[in-house]
Amino acid sequence: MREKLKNLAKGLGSLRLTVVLLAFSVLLVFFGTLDQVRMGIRDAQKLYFESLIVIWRYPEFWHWGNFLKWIPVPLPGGYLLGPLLAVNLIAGHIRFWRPRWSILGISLIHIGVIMLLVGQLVTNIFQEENYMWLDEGDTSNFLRSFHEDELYLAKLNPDGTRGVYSVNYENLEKGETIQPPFPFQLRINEVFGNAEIKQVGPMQADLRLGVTQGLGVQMSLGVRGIPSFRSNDQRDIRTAVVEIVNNGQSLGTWLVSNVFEDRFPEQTFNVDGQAYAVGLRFKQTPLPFSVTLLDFTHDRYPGTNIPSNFASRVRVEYPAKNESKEVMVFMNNPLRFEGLTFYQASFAKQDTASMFQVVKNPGWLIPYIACIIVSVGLLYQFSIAGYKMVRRIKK
Amino acid sequence: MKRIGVIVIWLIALAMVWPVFKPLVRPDHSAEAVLGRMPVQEGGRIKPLDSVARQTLMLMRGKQSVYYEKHKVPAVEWMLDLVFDREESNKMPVFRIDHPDILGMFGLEAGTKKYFSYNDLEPYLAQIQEQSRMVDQDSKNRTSYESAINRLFGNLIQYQLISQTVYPLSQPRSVSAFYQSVEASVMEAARRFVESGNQMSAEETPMQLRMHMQMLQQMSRSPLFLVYADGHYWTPGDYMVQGIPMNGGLPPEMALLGRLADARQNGDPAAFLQAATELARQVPDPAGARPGLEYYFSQSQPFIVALSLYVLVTLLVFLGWQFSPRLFLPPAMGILGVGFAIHTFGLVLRVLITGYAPVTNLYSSAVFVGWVAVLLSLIFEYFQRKGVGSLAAAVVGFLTLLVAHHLSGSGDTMEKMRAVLNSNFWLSTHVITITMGYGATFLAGFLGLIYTFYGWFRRGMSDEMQKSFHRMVYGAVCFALLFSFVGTVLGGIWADQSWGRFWGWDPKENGALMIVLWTALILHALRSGLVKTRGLVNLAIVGNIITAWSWFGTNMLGVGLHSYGFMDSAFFWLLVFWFTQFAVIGLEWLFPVKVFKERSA
Repeated sequence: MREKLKNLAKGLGSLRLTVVLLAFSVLLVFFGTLDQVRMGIRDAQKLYFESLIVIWRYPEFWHWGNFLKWIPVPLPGGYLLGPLLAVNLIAGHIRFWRPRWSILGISLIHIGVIMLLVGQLVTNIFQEENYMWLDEGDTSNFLRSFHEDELYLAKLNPDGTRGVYSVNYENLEKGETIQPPFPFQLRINEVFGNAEIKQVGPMQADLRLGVTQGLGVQMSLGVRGIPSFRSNDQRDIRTAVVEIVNNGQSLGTWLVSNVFEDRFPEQTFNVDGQAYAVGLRFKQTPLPFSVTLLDFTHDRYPGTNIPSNFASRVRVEYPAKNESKEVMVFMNNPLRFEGLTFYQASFAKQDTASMFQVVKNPGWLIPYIACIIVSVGLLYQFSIAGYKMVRRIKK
Repeated sequence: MKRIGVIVIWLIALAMVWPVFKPLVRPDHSAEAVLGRMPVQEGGRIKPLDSVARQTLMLMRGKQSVYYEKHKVPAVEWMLDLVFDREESNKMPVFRIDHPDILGMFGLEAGTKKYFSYNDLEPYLAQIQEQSRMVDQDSKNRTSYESAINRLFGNLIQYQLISQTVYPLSQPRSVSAFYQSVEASVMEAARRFVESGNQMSAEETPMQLRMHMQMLQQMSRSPLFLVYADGHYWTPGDYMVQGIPMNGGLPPEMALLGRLADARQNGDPAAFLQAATELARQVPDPAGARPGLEYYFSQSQPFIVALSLYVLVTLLVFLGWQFSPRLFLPPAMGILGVGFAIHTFGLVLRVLITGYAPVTNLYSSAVFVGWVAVLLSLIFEYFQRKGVGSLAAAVVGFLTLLVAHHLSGSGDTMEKMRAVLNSNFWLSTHVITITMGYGATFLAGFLGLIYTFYGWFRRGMSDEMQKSFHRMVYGAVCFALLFSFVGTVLGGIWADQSWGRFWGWDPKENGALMIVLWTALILHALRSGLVKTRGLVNLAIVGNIITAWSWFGTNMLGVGLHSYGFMDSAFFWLLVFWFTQFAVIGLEWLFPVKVFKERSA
């Protein structure tokens, strides 16, 4: 038994395994990059780098694609290779490691590499990317998601405040009934991952999907499900048909979609004299503090439209902590506040509106430290090797 | 005898270096040189007119001179004709057209003619515009014909705009007279404006003035800010509008431009030179730009000189191996040192001119990759003088400078950096280290190629020689891993600073990662005993393939692979390069390099 364990450790820690794993990694990265052309970076990342196994096929639209597309190339995915490399590395060290000055650098390099792998894992799990658009003079205290959407119900209180209940788009299922903390139920009649919405005449009334209230009726909208855009620039038009039910009695059916927000007024209804709103929107995350855009500047090189700098002057206010400060956010100089990082990402409206990408990544510091450790290790090790080599040649 | 040989070799080398000193020893005082040196503003930065001329001509014709009436016309001379004497430049064949479908539009077959003058193309302008309007908005989806017609149309527009810098499309008989009549109508309008009590509606504006304003507006669309006055660079059109009222008459700069144009059109070189000298004298040395240095840089072309020296070194090493190592190898190394010095000199000039770290775009990365490879191999050659280091340096230096030379056709190579790149800190850390990584991986790969070819052509090599190759390839791979790794991680940190993510699986990032993984693989394979020298060498050659992918291939993904009906010419060369590398590896497997023991003499 002991012998067997020893052999296993030997195999897991062997340098030959390292070589094989590295070779597969190179192939995986290469094919994963190639497929980005076809499916976009996000989908390729999921399929290749966040999976156990993946099969690459020769694209049909390349030369000889008609024949070569039949040959599948199976590859281990990132979630298989990453941990295996980590295990191999650790096992190898346990097997070979003895405290010696001459291999101090190698140990440092490998510690750093493990940190990078761990850091990437932490990022994959915990990182949240959102954004915030602000016009000059505007204040906001919530973030919007780049990719996620949510169905929401809001109780509109007379004093202007709102009680919001929301369900992530991913959790919506056709036919299910949801019980919000309000005196009615919500039935999901239809869900579309991506849809084409346009005005339809009476001939195509079936595309109206039985909507009886709100925008869908006012504008005679018809809905057709379409495949995902698979694009980094164009967001899928997520759409649903929901029915408000009170004690088994339908109060109406609404069409909701993430393209309605900002374009049309909110869809509202009354139950027992209380006003509510319903809609589907880019997922929002509330913040305990607020951000105000004081000024946005956009410098160009003279006589051209080539930007030389973008900068936003913002005020951050955190009433609960009695904190208020003014900061400049510009390219390569983000604002880090309360575990969030605000980056200057975009601008619009003749340079009077600014967009921040807002990222929460608790592991952001790990790569910085890892980089230093590995660099020191590499320098140390190669200096020793170089010194030895030069001395041997000189003899 | 041997001494004479060495002297001859060095004399040849010095003759090749002469262009670097020539502009210093024999300064040029012709009108072309005076105006070529004069700072103007174009593309967001201040540069000598000569650079504008070279870049524009590169874009249109792919060369820095025009061949016209059996003469080589330098770029700046062509530009002066374009600006001051349009009718002359309209006859010069400056538009290069290769695409058979466009040639077919003119009723020509491919191969009959490829350079066209503006006059040749004028009858087809409407047709070209019509065609280019139908081009797909998304550059990724364009066919080769669509990109070609789009490029041609863009060049024609650029040509027209620059040709209107000094006088409008409707050619006046004398430019000076035209300026004076504009002055008269502006002053007349100003007088009336004051007389009418500062009130004048659009209908009351004199017809003559309205026409003139329209022409000036046309002229002010020129991308060339030719006039310096009042602390700014102006297009002559704009400066007429603002300068006449400000100056209370035609400004002296404009009067000079008028004299220049008239002298050019009347064929009076003496008057032209005099006006040119007066105009150039009025422009002070600008702050934050070094047009004089840039002019010298373009005249002396240090990278071309270095490239030719590298060719000479290659030749000398071959001669040394074949005939007499003692005669040829020492001067080869010496000349390599000179080539490296000039290469370095060019890089330093670029840094001084642009004010940025040495690598800012694909062009300068090629220059720098070569520089790193030459530096490393010079060090190798210093320790073991067998000519291998010299040859590797010369070959990589030559090839990368050749690539750079071809990349320079895409416009200004010293352009200002866009906002996110406008950071000397990151340009000089991440970009430099990652480019050094490319250089070291290529050096390892080319040492591998030299090993194989050396073994084949000399029917094997001594084990001493093999060891020496082993050490060099191993050293280069170590450097490659160090620089690529540090460069990649620094890139991640930069991305974290500017976009909020350390790693995004972007093609360029992935390419860098592949180099890191591959060099790590080589070192582990060596360490585990899986490979010896022969395997090391072949793995290093595969490194060439991966580095070429990372450096160029990833940039082509957006363009080439999507619309696969045609092949971008750069993509074609990438495939050729890959093929040759695989071929060498395959042939080495079939015909291994022999190694024999040799007693040291």
